[in-house]
Amino acid sequence: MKYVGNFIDKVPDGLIETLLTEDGEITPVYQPDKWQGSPEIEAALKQVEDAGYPALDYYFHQYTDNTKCMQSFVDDLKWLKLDGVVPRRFDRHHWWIVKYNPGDMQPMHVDPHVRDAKECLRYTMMLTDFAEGHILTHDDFMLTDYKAGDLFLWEDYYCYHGAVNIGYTPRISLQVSFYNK
Amino acid sequence: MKYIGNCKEWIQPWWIERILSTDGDISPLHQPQNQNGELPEQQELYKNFCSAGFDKRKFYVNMYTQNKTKDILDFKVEAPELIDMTGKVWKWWFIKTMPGQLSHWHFDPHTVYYKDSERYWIALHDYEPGQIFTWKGGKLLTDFIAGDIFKFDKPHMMHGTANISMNPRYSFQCTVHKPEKVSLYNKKYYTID
Repeated sequence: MKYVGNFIDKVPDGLIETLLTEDGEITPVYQPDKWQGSPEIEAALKQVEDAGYPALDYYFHQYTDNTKCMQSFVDDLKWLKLDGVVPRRFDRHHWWIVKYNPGDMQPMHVDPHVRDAKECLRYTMMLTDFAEGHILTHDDFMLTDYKAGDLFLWEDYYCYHGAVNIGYTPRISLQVSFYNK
Repeated sequence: MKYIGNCKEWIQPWWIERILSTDGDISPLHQPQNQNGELPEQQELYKNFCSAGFDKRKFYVNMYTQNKTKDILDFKVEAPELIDMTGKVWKWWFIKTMPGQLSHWHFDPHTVYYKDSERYWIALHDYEPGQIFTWKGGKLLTDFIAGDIFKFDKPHMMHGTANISMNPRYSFQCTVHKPEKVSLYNKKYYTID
């Protein structure tokens, strides 16, 4: 992941506190309805099923512009179009925030919404400082040593990645995708 | 983690078959008897663990402990030649971490109570993304192959594990130490790697 810069001054006042105290959308790890549409994605779903994840009934916390506790921040998050950072215009753009409390995880996966993108830029901004046990990984890489507000560009937007929190504090990150289909 | 060498020939395929086909001892994440020990550091860590909010009913690892676990009582394991046992004894155990399971950020208290402890980790299969071993400094153990031996930087080094892959993760663990204890610590087994 390529470091772009620190944008903590763009994060609306009160946002991180709200994310820490509000549950947002309780999002199950196993989402069979979402994992449809191509043999590749359906094969990935079968792997998740064979590994036994459905029985674990795990979830994490997600926040989007539809999430109730985010409504007072939606206008302030218009800067997430990242003007001046994204080098060209894309047809589609959306953001979402994820919170992993200790013990929360998302098994290794690809992001299905960009599966058929012709081109895509995928960014992650960390909203909490790195703490030991906060895992975001792909291949043999783990993201470490970041500060809240650090923005990273994914070198491969469709890479196989996952996250888990085995630390003692919540881990929060904001994702932004720009893509054309 | 310091790479020591590879001992692939030492691994017995039937060990792996046994571990993959049995449950061993189910070792829960929350073990107040073990975690809230005598050391101030241990007590502090236990407080942090309790306040972190892990769902204590969810998580476990499968342990296979020397002379204890019924499923492997017939295992006669000799130390690989690359581990120097001169004047020392050892404790060993296998751990299986199924997809979706984890061990939180911790250190192994038993390593503190024996003289000249050395803690080793031996891979029983090749690295797979999502099979996490992380240690102090945001390090991630990767690119290992079956038989690779690693020595902890310090026996009581902070570390944690998780399996967010689609396959079981299993490894061999041991602590090598002089027979003398540093203090009275009579726990026979400590069950989280």
